[in-house]
Amino acid sequence: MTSINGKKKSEKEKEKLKENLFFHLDEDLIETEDDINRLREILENEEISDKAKDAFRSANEFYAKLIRNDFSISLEEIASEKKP
Amino acid sequence: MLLKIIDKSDKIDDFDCGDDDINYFLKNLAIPNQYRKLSNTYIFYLEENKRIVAYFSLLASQLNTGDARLYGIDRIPIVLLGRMGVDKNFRGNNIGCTMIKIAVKKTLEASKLIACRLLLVETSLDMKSYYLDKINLGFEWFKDRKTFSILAIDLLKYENSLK
Repeated sequence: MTSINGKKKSEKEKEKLKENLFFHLDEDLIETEDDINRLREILENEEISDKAKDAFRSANEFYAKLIRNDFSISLEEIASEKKP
Repeated sequence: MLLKIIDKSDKIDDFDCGDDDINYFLKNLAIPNQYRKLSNTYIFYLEENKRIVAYFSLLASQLNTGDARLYGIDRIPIVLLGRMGVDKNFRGNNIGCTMIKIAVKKTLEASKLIACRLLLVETSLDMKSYYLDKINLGFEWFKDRKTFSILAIDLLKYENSLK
């Protein structure tokens, strides 16, 4: 016989299993005029900050290095990787 | 360490990043999702004992704008950086930042085959400054909700910056 606590736990687990969500996109993220304006700004502003440029280059170079090494890398190499 | 896509042979039980939800996803959902093509989970694991050091998951989604004011479409195609975690024993090694670099690059490559414009990440409010200021990998703030923040990387800017 399943105890009440056991049942509750099982229901909780089932509930959790249903939550195969990564993101709360079941709710719309665009709710206000400010949201749409912010999204427009992100999409239409072509300026790229120097920091972002550095970050993108760094991501590209790091990935190229990973490919060269057959996707193998040491913890030490990662730790010494330049932070943007 | 090796980077690869998760599969049934991976040892997932020992992973502990200190966050129940992130642990739960890896141990219960990452592999089924992988075989159902619902998300791709990439793991860094130690070659000597197969222990998982860190992981992140990517999946395609869309941002519903509610109408067609932007470019005449009501849904912007995006990729979600859905889950990401670093095992407690390996923190402080720059692994989180490194995984984001990989996620961004993989997303850019995917966008060349199937269009997607943004890489979105949902983060707790207290981690927002980590993404925007500390590791600054091109994230832009999109909005805050109750307990979390939505951040985006514009893949077009990323692509253009490499030209």
